[in-house]
Amino acid sequence: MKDMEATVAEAVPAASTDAERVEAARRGDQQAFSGLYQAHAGRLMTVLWRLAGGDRGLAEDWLQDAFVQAWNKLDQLRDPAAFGGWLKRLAINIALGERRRGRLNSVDVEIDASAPEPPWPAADLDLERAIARLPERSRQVLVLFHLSDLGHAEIAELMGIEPGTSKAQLHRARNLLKEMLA
Amino acid sequence: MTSRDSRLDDSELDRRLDALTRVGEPPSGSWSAIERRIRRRRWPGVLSAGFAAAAVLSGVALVVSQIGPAPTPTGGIAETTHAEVRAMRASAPEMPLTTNIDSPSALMAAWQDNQQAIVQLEQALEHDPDNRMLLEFLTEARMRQARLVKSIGRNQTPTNDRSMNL
Repeated sequence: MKDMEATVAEAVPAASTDAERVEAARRGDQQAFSGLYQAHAGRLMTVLWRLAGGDRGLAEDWLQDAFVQAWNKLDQLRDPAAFGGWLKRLAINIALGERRRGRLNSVDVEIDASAPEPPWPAADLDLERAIARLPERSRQVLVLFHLSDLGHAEIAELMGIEPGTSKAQLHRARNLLKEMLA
Repeated sequence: MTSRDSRLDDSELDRRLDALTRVGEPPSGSWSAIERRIRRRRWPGVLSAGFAAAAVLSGVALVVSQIGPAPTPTGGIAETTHAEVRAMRASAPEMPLTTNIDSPSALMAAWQDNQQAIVQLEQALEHDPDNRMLLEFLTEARMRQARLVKSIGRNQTPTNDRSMNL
């Protein structure tokens, strides 16, 4: 006869899935929401830091805003298992929205040439710094395309531009990177 | 060799982009900041859940007087419901119910809605045990649950062989 601990261990999965955490968070369980943060914040931070041109404080502000918005809008998420993608879109919208509201540097002005260093062990610091120095719109498109795995149609929708413009900005970004890294 | 010749080619750029770090450590201080913000904002949500449950139960109370056919609850709900019945039949005050309901599913949904509100209020009280408003909502929700259960029991008669088997 199995003892109680073994029975409980079989019944309770070792790690909760996103869907389980979302359901629990919808009932007000902050511990479950903390699990969602632990699962997704690290990935999201790399995207936001690059979108912010290496401004760590700004990226962390966006990250916090994204999770607070997610908490407040959890009931609007139709498929709890799709939390990761939904959160990513929330965060990107926050980042791009702040740029659109003009709170930050104007478009296509080179940002901080002092070469920011990412808050994680960088495998290719030269490339990280080159991306941070790209003109803003080109950087946004490059980050969303290459590092967030979005297509041009989705990038265009998020940025409020035409897909052709997204392709042109990506082409420009890649050419600039190739020159900077030569 | 020209400067154009010395530029990276596309495949090399793609290789380096693909190799970039995709997952870093979550920022250490961010969770505590998020936690403070969501705790502050969640209370209205919890309260509104209580209000919503109250509204639902008030509506149900108006139509629950002569309980019609109802299914037998199964599994965990049945066990929980039995416990609620035992605990609350003795203590609940009489609630005059004046109208009829023929939908067992509506009755069960109402019971479950109120039960969910009770759970949420209990969780909220764990974080803020001295919140009198939460305590009052919890008391009201428990009283509604008791009245609902009691009315179900009162409508179980020998002639009503489809009555709710709680």
